[in-house]
Amino acid sequence: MASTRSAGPAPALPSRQFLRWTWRQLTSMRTALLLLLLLALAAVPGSLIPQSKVDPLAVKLFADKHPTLAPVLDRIGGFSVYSSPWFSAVYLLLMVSLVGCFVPRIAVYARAVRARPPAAPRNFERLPASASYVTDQPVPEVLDRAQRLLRAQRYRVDTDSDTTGGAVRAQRGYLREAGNLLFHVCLVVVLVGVAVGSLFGYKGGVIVTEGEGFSNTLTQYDEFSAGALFDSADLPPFRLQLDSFQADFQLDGPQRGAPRLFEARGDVVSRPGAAPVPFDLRVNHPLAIGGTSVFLIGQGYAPVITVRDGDGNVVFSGAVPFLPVDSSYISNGVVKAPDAAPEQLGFEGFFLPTAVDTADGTPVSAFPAALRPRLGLFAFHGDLGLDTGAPQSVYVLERDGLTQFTDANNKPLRMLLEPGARAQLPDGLGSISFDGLRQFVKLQISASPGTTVPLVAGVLAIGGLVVSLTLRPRRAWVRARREHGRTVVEVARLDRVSGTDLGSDVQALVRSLQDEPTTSRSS
Amino acid sequence: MSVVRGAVTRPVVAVVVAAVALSAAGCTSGLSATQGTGGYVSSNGAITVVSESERKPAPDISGPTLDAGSVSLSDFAGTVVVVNTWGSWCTECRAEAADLVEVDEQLGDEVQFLGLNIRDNETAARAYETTYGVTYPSIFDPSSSLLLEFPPELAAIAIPVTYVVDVEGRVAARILSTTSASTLMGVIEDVQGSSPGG
Amino acid sequence: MSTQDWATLSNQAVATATVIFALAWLAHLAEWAFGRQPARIPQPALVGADGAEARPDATPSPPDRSAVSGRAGLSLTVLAFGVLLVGVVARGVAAERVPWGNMYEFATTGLLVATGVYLGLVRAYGVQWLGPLITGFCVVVLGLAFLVYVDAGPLVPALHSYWLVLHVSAAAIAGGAFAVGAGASAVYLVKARAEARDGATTGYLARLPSAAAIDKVAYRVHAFAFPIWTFAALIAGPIWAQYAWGRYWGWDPKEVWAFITWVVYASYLHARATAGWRGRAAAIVALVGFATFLFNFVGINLFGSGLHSYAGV
Repeated sequence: MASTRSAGPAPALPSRQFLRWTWRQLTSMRTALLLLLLLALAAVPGSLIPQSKVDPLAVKLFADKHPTLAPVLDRIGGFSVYSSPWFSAVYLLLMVSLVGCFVPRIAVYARAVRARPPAAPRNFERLPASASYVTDQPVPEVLDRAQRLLRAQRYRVDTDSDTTGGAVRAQRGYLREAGNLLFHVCLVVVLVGVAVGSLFGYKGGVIVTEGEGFSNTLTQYDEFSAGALFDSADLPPFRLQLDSFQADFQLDGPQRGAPRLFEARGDVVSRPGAAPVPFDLRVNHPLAIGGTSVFLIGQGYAPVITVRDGDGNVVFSGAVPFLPVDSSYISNGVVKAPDAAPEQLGFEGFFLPTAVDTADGTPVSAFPAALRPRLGLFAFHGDLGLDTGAPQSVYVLERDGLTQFTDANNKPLRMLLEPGARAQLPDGLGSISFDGLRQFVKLQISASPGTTVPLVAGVLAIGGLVVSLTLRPRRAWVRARREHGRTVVEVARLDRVSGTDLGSDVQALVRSLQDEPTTSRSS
Repeated sequence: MSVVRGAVTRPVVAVVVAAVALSAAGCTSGLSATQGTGGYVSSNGAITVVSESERKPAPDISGPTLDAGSVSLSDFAGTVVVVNTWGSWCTECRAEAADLVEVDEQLGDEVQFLGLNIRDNETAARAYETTYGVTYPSIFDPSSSLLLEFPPELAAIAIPVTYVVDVEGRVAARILSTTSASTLMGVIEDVQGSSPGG
Repeated sequence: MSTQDWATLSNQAVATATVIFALAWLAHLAEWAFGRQPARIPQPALVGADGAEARPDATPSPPDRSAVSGRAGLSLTVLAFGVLLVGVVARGVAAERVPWGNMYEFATTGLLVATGVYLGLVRAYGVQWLGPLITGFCVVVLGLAFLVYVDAGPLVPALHSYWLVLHVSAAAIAGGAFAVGAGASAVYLVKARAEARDGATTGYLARLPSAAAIDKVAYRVHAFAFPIWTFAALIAGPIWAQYAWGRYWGWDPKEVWAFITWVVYASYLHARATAGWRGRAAAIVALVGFATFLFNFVGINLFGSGLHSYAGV
């Protein structure tokens, strides 16, 4: 395609040439660099805005606090940045650029790795580092010595001789490109391996209270997500029974209140009909059952609460998990009694493991262990909204249809219960009692198949990376010729990668050539 | 020419494969919990009726009932049994409770209803039964252990889930959503119709 | 000695090291101040000084005050390194575990690595010109570290794993080296601008090696740190996450910023091989990378929430 200089704008390229140009641009280093920087920038919002996969509760709180901003963010993928189309576009483009760059380079390297060292340029002075000296040694001896020296430095060496003299040409550092290619190929393998593995993996969370059990069916999970190729039949049908949970906190010393031990004990039945096997589950020590692992990722308190309704019937009696808010384990929870008569009852409040009496009644817990447990509740009556069929979180009280109980001063009624205490509700609408205290564990149950390939590829990638950053491809030439009865020797070095001190290396080579103790007649 | 083309198509193929894998990985299965509800996995609504030849035997689930007795599925051999999983805290279950009671009363002895109460405490469950006038027995199974025994391809993947067991004790249908009286009747008829001598 | 004694020793050693670093920094500042006079280039052909300190007699030129200050600064840095080493080791003995289990310990260990890398480079490549930046950085960070001080004690259960040794130590080593690399990149930018403007023949800048030489040092340090960071953030971290949390990557804020740091430093390496980005642009990218590392260490720990923030710092 002949290009003509004209006064007007350059002629448009035909489509195939344009595609080639686009491809060249996409696979160029500059594009890769810009895409990398763009990827870093694109990842930032996901760390500042709550993400639904990381902390769904935080997303809900954010949406409550920013009612106009939240829907906009939701539409542009702000709450799931890393699975959003625009983030995916950046890393997919980067991968295209990467693969499009290294595949041809593999072919180029396959040829280059077998090539012999190139011939020396005619004029050594044009090279970045060169030197020359004169000696009485004959040419073959000089060349032989140069050959041995360079071979000892792990160069690939070839020698050419002719009537006037000879030259030694050498190259080393062939493996640097191999390391570079290995790193980038392994990077792609890791990403593809991770993606394929996540198609089959799943992750679910559940709260289990002491004395209760958990069966691995989807009906038991609090939250669950899985890859697109996951089949519920893949869930191993185990059941575990939590007999006890122990949480120890530092009682004294500089780190008073810090957690020391979280240990869950019980039995697990790997499938219906199998014999129970005891387990001991701790943080960092997951329980492995048939390809799935059970992780202990959190814990808290579950006060045992009994609710009686206005008709005198017991309408609720059981342990209710209260979710901890901070390291003092002050916890929030909700109790719903939708079948209380004549009116449905709801309760919302806090639990303090070691309650401290404060002047204004602010709930404060001084220590995370249950040394002085207190349950503080606000009470409501009316319509809990459970009968409409719309899903409702078990940890949130929908107050729209509810009226709050007030005390004699028309302030919201607040009941503070110690274990064993019962509080009556106004207007004879029922009562609530705090019977006892149990603990719960938050378990994560997940399977991440196909981690071997990414792991191995990752380790190989680091090996390739280290090779590519430490090896320095170099060429060296030594040329000798007879001139006026003496031998003139020229030495030169060329570095393919910057960052080395060539000048002193050339001097060192010259000194080695000159200094070797032989029967030399050097002056 | 062919070298150039080869140099372009090879990476393109590689990238397409990788891109497909990546985009597919980005999709989650329809089993994901509905975000923001918190506390349980909601269903996405699907009715499966299993053809005669492929029905597997239903597990002989048994356990204590909410009224301090005990019951097992084999007690009702020879009748169509509707096994409904529910919890007093589950809004979708509460929405269908009246319909289930209605169908139970309408069909009388033709069909036996058996409830499976999960993730609940006994008093709250009994209060639920009082509210909706539930007269059929329910097994108290707070850890869903009995659901593990159902055939994996018809697993209970959400709540509420309703199974219909035919007269030969095989799992004939699964309803994965809040059901209505008419839908349930229709499914029962399908099951009865295809059972021999039904 | 009881653990309490070791803890006290550690606190005293770290405090002392802070003071010594401050003195070293002052010495380097003096080196800079004295060096603003034109450089005394030793040329036997010239008698007498060129510039402000002209002396009429032919005696050897007076001791170069800048160089003396610089050597004093270096000696003090070596001393500070030794004292800080005692502090870090004593902390480990006091807590009966590796001394990098919380922000305070990570800071002291990271600075120990940074100083160690600096001193090693001084021996290998003569990078005394990094002195002012390294000592200044150590003083500031050690001072801030006291704000997040916690007494030596056992770790929370989530950190009970031998991956603590691998993952966090690799991150600390890489971080210390990144600090040195950032210092070199900063000096490079200053020198390169001076060279472009007026050849950098006067004052303190003339005493610095050429911009190209500084650039080589920066590259070497980053080439050392980057594979270690890759291992820490993308291999050891995910493996530990799989054992502790059941997933090897969850886009937790700290993971995100570790990833961002990695991508930016990868961009630095690519920039050095891209025409038009080689010199100053690459150095700026390296500084951005270090900024992301600092944000990861400070910002996410203190202000973010997520699986990495354990009840306190």
